Amino acid sequence: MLLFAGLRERAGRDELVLDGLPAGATVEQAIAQARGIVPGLDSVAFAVARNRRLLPAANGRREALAEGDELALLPPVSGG
Amino acid sequence: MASAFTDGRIDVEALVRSVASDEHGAICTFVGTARRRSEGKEVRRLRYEAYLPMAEAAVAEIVAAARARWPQAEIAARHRLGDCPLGEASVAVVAAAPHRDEAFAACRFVIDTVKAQAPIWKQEVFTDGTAWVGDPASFRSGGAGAAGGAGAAGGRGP
Repeated sequence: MLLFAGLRERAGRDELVLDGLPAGATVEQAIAQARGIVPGLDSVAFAVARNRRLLPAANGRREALAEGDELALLPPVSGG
Repeated sequence: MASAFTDGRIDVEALVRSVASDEHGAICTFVGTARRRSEGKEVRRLRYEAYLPMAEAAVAEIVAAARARWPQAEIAARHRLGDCPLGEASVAVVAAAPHRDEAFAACRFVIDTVKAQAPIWKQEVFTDGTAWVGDPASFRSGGAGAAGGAGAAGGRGP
């Protein structure tokens, strides 16, 4: 799971390896595991990208993960 | 296609040349620059980070959407990553078109959409700490002069 900007700083690293997720685990389960690793994960609202596509805010986190998926947590963007 | 990102200074003139042609009668250039004041605080410099592969795709899609909407326009965009000193360009968008209305419209569409959608993040380095824009809880005191920080988090593999 890739982390950027303020989330990367909170974690002290730019990538988390999530072990032991059960087969068919959802995006939300992966986030729950990250929550146990990254202090203050929920002190910023973040979007989730799966394989470089934004997941829909409504129900995207219920999607089941596949082996090798690239997840990324994206804090509010501020380019420009 | 050239990358939309650079670790160094943005060459705005080269960007303008890349869209210029004698088919066009107008070239609109937007340059965003690093500002010293932010909500009453003094900024020392800005620092940018991107989710590079996704951000490249996002900018390409936004430019393609603009070209679909203004088919005669030629458009290019560059965004800086890493440290951006005050006064220097952090982003530039150029749009050439036969007439100025399309050039202005396409340029504005691209910069507005890039700012709203592309996975790019700006950190303000203040005299007393750092914070990511849009993430006030990320404020960390100290470190204004410190190198600390990732700069461009680019080119990461899968």
